[in-house]
Amino acid sequence: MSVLKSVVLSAALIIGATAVHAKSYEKDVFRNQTLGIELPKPDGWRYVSAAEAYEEAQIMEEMGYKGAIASFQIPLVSMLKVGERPDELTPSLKVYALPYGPGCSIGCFDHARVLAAVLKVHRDSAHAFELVTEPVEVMVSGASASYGSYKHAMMSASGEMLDVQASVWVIPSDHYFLLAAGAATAASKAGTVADVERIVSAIKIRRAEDVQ
Amino acid sequence: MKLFKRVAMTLAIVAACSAAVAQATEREVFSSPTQGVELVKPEGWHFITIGDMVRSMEMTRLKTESLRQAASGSPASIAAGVAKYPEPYPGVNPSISIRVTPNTTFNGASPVDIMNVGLSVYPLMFDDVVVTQPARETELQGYPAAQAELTATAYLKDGTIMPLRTRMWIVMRDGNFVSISAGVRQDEANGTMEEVMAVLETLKVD
Repeated sequence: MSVLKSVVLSAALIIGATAVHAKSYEKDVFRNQTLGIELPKPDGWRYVSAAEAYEEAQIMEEMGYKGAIASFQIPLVSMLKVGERPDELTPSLKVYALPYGPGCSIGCFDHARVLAAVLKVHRDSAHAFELVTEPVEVMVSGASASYGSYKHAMMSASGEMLDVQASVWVIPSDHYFLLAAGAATAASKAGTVADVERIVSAIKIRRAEDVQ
Repeated sequence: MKLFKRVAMTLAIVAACSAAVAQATEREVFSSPTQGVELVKPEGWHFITIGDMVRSMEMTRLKTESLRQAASGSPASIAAGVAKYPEPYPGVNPSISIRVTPNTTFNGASPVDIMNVGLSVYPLMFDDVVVTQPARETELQGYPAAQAELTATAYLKDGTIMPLRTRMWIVMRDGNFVSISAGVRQDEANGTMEEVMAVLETLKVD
């Protein structure tokens, strides 16, 4: 399974389970100086650890989503809005840094095509998939990227069918691209995917021209 | 096994010729809550950027060229890299590289198992590889871990000779492992392993 497909599946499971263990470092800006990326963590949100993300994959596997563990990838950063109840499904975001692949660089990278492939994987794997926003070009951190959104239904850990709204971005950088996937349940009182979209729109990527 | 090799080779490359465009020279905390890693970059040290890593790979002559793609590693696992000197630096730059990799494919493997696979890859890339400290079990901040050390000689494409000394750790966590590599010149003329270890003292693995 390709890295991209693995990550897509993992990102598709983003709303799979609510993580409950608060972590100590809750800085309001996530920053990776080696990858040259930063994004805000709004008030009322918290980071999700790799261990929690893995726990989600385990729960999804138990719920019948075969391959959730085999396809598990560690997000560069994952966060979710803190709900009133520990088991509440709240808006969440996962951001992965992925390689362009053999022989490819930003020069030959077609972010629209990659997003279409991502959405196809989701269409094939999600229940009651409904495309809401056809892939469109957007600007993230001053450069061209692709965005699309969709709805689907999924069963919660308690067996309840939930309507989920999801947004996906493919954002090129000099030596890698970001796959950002956000989701929220339609019935959530904690927030919507608009909360996620605000975070993604504030991503800053340091590109070669920025450091010259 | 491929993933093991990729991780191992990436460690080797980064330790061999880490390159760092100066980003900031003040003391700065690197913190990656999802990856569960935190490190303090001391004043005067520099973050290694992914662009630096790519350039380093391009400059390095590998014994087995077919390994170049795998040796490049994936940005998906990068946590942090710091180096003593800004790049381009003419030689081995004392440095630390940290990666976090899912362990889903290799469940059951011990940290020592993973380290041994990594050690087996070095001779495919570099010359004069001597494992000075075979992989041994240890513990790092409460997690089961393995530690090893080796020396080797890397060559850049321009003929520059890079005598390396690399100390490595594999730290096993739930569903993933952290790979840490600390590299210096063998004669430690431009920075000692002790200096690098002092930076690593600030590492927190959550």
